[in-house]
Amino acid sequence: MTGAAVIFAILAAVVLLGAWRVVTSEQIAHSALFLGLTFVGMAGLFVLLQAPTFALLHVLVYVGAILTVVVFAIMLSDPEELRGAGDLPPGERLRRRLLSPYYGWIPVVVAGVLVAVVLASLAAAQLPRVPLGEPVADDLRAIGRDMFTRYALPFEVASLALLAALIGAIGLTRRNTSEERGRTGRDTAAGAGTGTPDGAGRNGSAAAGRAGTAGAAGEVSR
Amino acid sequence: MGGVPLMDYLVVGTLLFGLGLWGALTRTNAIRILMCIELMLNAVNLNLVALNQYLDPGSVEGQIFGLFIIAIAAAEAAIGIGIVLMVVRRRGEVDINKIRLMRG
Repeated sequence: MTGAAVIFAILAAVVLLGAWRVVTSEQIAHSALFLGLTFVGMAGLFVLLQAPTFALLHVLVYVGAILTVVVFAIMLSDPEELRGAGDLPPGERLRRRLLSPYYGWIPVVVAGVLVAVVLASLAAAQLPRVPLGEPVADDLRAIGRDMFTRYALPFEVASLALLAALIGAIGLTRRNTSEERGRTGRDTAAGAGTGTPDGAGRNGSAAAGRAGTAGAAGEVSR
Repeated sequence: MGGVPLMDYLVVGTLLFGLGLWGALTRTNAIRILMCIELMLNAVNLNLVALNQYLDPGSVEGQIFGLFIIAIAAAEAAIGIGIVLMVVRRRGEVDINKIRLMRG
C-alpha cells in the first residue's frame, strides 16, 4: 500500500463519516460542523488528485461562504431545533424511524438502489488504474485562461445567476416596513400576554388546538 | 494520485451522493435538507475532477465545470437559506412537515 493510498483511505473515511454524521447528528449545530469536516476532507481529496487550485476554491467557497451562511441560518432559526430530539435511546429511535414508511425505509430503498446500480455499473466499466498522462503543470493558469476565453459566456451567465440569487436573497430576507410595524405590535401584545399565567395558558391551548386541527387534516389527506 | 485507481474516487463519490440523497429524503429540518443537497453537489464535483484528472489530464474542463457547480451551489445556498429564514420569521417553524402553506 503506497502512501497515496493510505492518505486516500484516511480522507475517504473522513468524508464519508462526516457526511454520515451530517445526516444523523441529533443537534443541527453538530451537523453543520461535520459538514465543515466533510468539506475539508473533500479539499484533501482534490489535493490528492493534483488539483490544488480547485481545492483552494472549494475551501474558500464552501467553508468560507456556504458553511458560514448555514451556521447563521441555524442561529437565526428556531432555538428549539438546537436541542436534541427526544430522550429515546438511539437504537429505539432508529428502529421507529426505519419502521415508518415516508421517513424510514422508502428513502433507504431509493438511495440504496441508486447506489447499488451505480456501483454495479462502475464494476462493469473498464476504468484506468493510472492517469492517462501527466496533469497540467500550472492549473491556476490553465483554469484562468480557459475560463476567460473558451468559457467566457458560461462564466458571465454564472455571474449573472449569482447576482440574481444574491439580490433575491436580500429581497426575501428584507423586512417590509409596514409588515414590520404590524409584527412589532403583535410581538409586544404577545409578550404582555405571556406575562400573566392566564394569557400563557390561553396561548398554549390555542396553539395545541391549531396543531390538533392540522394533524387531523393531515390524517384525512393521507 | 499514484497508486489510487480511478474507481476508488468514483466509489467515494457514489457513497457520498447516496448519503446526501438519503438525508435529503428522510430529514424534516429545512436547513439540514439544504446541507444534504450540498453533500450531493460535492459528490458530483469529486466525480468531475477525478474523471478529468484520470481520463483527460492535459485539460482542465472538468475542473471548470466543477467551478460552475460551486457557483450555482453558492446561489442555491443563498436563496434556500433566505427562504428558510423568511418562513421561520413568518411561521416560527423550520420543520417542513409543519409548514402547510402550499399543501395540495
